[in-house]
Amino acid sequence: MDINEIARRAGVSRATVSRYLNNGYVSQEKRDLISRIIRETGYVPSQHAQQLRTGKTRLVGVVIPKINSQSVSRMVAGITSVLANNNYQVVLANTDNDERVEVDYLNLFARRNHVDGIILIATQFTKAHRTAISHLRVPLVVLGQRLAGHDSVFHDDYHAMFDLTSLVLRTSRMPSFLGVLKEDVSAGRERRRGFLDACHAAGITPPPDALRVVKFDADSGYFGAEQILDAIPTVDAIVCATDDIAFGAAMCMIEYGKRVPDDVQITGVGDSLLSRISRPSLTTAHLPYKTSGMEAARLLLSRIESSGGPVQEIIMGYEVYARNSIR
Amino acid sequence: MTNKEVAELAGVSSAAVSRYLNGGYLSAEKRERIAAAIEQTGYVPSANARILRTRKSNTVGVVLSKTDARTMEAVSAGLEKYLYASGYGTTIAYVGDDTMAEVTAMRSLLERQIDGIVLVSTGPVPGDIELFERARVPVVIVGQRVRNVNCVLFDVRGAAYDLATSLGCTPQSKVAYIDAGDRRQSFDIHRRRGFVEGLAQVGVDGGNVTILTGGFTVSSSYNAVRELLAKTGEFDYISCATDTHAAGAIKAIRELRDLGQLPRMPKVSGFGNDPILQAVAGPIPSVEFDYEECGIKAAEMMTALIKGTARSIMSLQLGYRIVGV
Repeated sequence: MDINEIARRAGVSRATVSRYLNNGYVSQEKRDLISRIIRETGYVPSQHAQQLRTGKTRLVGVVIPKINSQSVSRMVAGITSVLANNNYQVVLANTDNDERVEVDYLNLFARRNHVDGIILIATQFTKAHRTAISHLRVPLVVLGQRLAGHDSVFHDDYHAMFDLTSLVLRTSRMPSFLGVLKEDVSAGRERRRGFLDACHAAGITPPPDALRVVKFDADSGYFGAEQILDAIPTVDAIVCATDDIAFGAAMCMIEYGKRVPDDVQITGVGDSLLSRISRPSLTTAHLPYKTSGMEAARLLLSRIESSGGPVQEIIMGYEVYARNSIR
Repeated sequence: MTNKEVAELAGVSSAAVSRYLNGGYLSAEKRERIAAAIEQTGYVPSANARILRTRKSNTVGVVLSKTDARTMEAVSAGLEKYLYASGYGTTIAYVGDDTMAEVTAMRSLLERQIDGIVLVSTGPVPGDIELFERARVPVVIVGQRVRNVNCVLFDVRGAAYDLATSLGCTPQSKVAYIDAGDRRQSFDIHRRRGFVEGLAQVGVDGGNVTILTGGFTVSSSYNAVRELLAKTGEFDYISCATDTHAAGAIKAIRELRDLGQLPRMPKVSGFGNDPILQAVAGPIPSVEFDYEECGIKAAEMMTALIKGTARSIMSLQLGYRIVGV
C-alpha cells in the first residue's frame, strides 16, 4: 500500500494525498474521502518520507537525571501523554545525575534534524550547560528548574516548604532541616530558603548544626538525622527536602527510641506513594509533577509550531498534606 | 419550599439566600445559618436559581484596577481577543486606584452570572483573600503573584536587573533611580530590587546610587527630579521605574539644560517602552513587555479553568525585551 494506491482508491491526485498527510490544504470533501480510504486500508505513512518533506522528525528529546525517581517518572508520564496526542514520540536520555552526560545529550540533540524540540529535566546548570543550550537550534523547555531567559516550568518549592515548616512550628521550637545541595536551585536552595524564612517568621533562628546537606536518598537521611540528634539532643522537628530523606530520618528517630510525631515531628516533600502508607503516614507537599510535564510539553509544542513571543515561566501550585508524622 | 422560606428559617434576607446559591459575598455566620436551613428543609433551588448556579453564562468578568491606562488597554485587548474567539463575552469593571472599590466590584461580579473573574492589578490584592477562596468561579490574577490563585505576570525583577546591567554604567557612575516608592506595590518592590541588584552586578558603588521617590504622575516626577538636580547636578543616569516618571525626568532635565544650570547631561531610561514617549523623547533605554500576549495567556488560563481542563493552580511569568541600549 502506498500513496499512489490511496490516491487511486480515493479518486484524487497523489499531490492531494500528500497535502493531506502533511497538513496542507485539502477540501473537506476530499479530506473525508482520503481519511476513509486510509482507515479502510490501514495505511501508515512513511515517517522518513514525512521527515524529508516537512523537515520535522516528530521526535522530542527528553533529558532526565535519573530513571528510578517517582517525580521524574510522573513528569515523563505527563510529557508523553501530551506529545502522543499530538503525534510526537519521545526519545528519553538518562544522565544518571552526571552533568557532563547531560551536556553531551544536549549537544547531540542540537545537531540538525535529530529532534524537533527538547525538554530538559535538570538538577543544576553549569557553564557547560549554558554553552550547550545557547547552541541549540531547536526549542528548549526546562522542567523542574528555573533558567532565566528560557522557557521553563517549575514548582513553587519555596512556598511549599514555607507552609510545611509553618505547620511544624505550631508545636516545635527546635526545628532542624535536612536539605540537598544548593546548586540544585529548586530542591536545594529554594526549599532551604522556605524553611529558614518560615523559622524567621516564627521568631526562631535555628543553630548552624540544625541544617544539614544530605543526598537524595533514605540512607543519607538516616545519617543526617543521626548527626542532628547527636549535635542537638533536644531537636523536636526534622523538616526534610524530600520524602525519601524523611523516611530515613524517621527510621533513625525510631531506632534511637524517639517517637514520631510525639517527640520529633517529620515532614517530607513530594507526596510519594510510600508517604501515604508509611507508619506514621508522612506529612508532605504534593507537587503536581505530572501536570508540570504536561504543561512543559504544551509549551514546547507551541514553540515548535511558531517561534517568537516572550519567554514563559510557569510556576506550578502545590498542596500541603498534613498526615500523622506531625502533631 | 421557596427561597423566601429558607430565608425566614435562617433569619436572613432572601437576597442573602440568593447570594449564597450563586456564590456571592456572605458573612461566614450567615453562610452557616443558610446551609443549616437548606440541609434541614431539603430545599432544592427553583429552576431559575438552578440555572443561575449551573448553566454557564459564557461571560467572564474583568476587573481592571491600579494599572496604567496603556497596560490596561493592551491587556484587555488580548483578553477579549482570545475570549471572543472562544465564544465568551466579557463584563468589565474599571475601579481605578481603590482597594475597596476592587472588592465591591469583585463581589458584584460574583453575584452575577459569570463563569470566571480576571483581576488585572499590580497593587495590593484585596486583603479579603477569602473572597477568592469563596468564589465558586475560577479566578485569574494578572500583574502579580498571589499564592493558590492562577496568575499571569511579568518578570519585572529580571527586567530591571537586565536593564541596569545593560545601561553602560561604570563603577564610578552616579545613578538616580526614581519610582513611586509605594511599598504596597509588589511591582514597585521587585523592580527596585532588580535594578539595585543589577547595578551592584556591574560594580556601581552603592554610595553612588540615589533612590528618589517621585509619586505617580509626570508632574510629581518632574518636581522630584528638578529638586534633585538643582541640589546636585552631577548624575550620569536617571533611571525611571515607569515611562510616566521618565517623561517628568526628561522635562526637568531639558528645562535645566536650557537654563544652563546642568553641568552634566544625564542619560534617562524608562520602563515599559511607551511608543508615545519614544516618539517625543527619542529612543531611550527601556524594557518592552508584550501586554497583549499577557491578556491572551490569562484568557487561555481562564477558559481552561472554566472547562475544567486545568489540573493544577499555576502562575505564568512572561519575559521581556531590553530596547534602546
